[in-house]
Amino acid sequence: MAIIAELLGVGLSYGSGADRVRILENCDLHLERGEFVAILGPSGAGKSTLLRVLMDLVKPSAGDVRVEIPEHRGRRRMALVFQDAKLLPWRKVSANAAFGLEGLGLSRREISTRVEAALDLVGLSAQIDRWPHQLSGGQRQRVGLARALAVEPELLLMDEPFGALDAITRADLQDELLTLWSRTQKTILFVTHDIDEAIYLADRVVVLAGSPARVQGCFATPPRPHLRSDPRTWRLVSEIRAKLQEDGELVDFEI
Amino acid sequence: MTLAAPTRSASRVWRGISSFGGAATPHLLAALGLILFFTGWEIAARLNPSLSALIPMPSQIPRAWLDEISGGYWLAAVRNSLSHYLIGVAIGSILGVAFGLVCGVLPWFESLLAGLVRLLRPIPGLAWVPFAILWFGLSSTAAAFVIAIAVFWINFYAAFGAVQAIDRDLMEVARAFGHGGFFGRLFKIALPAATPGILAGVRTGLGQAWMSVVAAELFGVPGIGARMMQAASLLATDLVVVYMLTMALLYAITDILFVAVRRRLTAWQS
Repeated sequence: MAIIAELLGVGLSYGSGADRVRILENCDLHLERGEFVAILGPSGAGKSTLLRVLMDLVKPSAGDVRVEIPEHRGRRRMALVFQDAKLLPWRKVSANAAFGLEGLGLSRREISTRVEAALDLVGLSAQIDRWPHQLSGGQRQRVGLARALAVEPELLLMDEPFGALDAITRADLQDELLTLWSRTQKTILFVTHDIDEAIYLADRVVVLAGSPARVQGCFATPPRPHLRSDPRTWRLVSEIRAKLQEDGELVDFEI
Repeated sequence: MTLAAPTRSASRVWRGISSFGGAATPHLLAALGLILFFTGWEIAARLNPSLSALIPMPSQIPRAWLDEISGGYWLAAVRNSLSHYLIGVAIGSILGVAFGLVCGVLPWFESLLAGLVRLLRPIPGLAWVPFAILWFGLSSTAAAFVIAIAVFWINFYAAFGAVQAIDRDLMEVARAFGHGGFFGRLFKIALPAATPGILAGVRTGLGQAWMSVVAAELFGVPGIGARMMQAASLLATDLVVVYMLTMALLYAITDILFVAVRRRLTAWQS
């Protein structure tokens, strides 16, 4: 399969001398087209930073970032779904979903067609004229997802998108995301601190831990379909947990 | 028993007042307060005829107001003052908001202006009156200039503070979706996100500007302030009060218009 994005020996640090704070060190990551990969690690381990390096929002201080997606009008077809949605509260749902389509020279009609399609994918067509404050947490996160899908990304980066949701809504959205992924064949890189979520969703789980954070290991999940609490994954869970603790740190996980 | 009786009847009266009209009660009380104020004033003025040169009786005001209107002075003064007010407020608000926004979005620009702001900010708008008269004479432009300076600072700080208070993550959202350039951050994030804060500044400016209108006109630029000075020099205190009330009226009208506009612009807030 073709590589869509790659991190080679990426390191990131701020400051210099004794004040130097090292966030990431020597991180390698390969993403193949159509793959669903989860990055798993404790809170504050630099998982979100890794996504931002890929998204070109943060410049790494060492290593190479390669993204095999051609640029169109200065933008690559990749999109980020934020933790807590981060909608723009002064825009209605439709205008929020259209945010990434503005300034591309698209016609109004094209924009609204793509916005409607994206909102339809996340099941929010009926809420198109609502303000963000009128939505539930799950609905807001769906709009965040629609905003990302509207740019028709080849690579979708998701930063703990379901972390703040209640368990039922989270499970629903996880299943919808899997359906969406199997329909659209997009490449997804999904950051989470939840082992079960990572194993349930992804083809591969990349464990990122330590300070500075390094890739501690990479685990393939059993062939799909995945079940929740799948007995096939019990061993995998304990292997991953062992890998996380190898680092000698206290790690705080939801299990 | 005898002591408790009046208290109980008073509380019954009070309950009567507060149940009367339900939600309208505060308005009724406000009207009552006004009536009490003017009645007290009228009585005090009538009991002390020697004060008549210093303070008018409220009962004289409507007559004086009507005379002033029929003489054509009132409308001319209001028209003059309104034109100073509107031009000064518009220029001061637009420039203040623009500079405040750009300072909020571009840290280097803010640093560049920081010293200048610290130098000029403490100088009140009225301290510019000598220059206003030197540069523009006793003209409408001079009055508008002084008003604009006072309004500028209010709006500058309101807009700058509002941009500083924006959730930084929204700027990252802008960058992630291809709007990370200066104009993208300014028009797609800073301006809409700061709108409530900017409008609060505009509203303060609308009120403060009336103060500057009077002050600027006291120096002789025709308008409400100048007319008040003329009236005071002739001891026509009733006319002074007419124009004080006129300003209160004009302020109330601008504020009502403002609130209507704000409701449209910030419909997205819960």
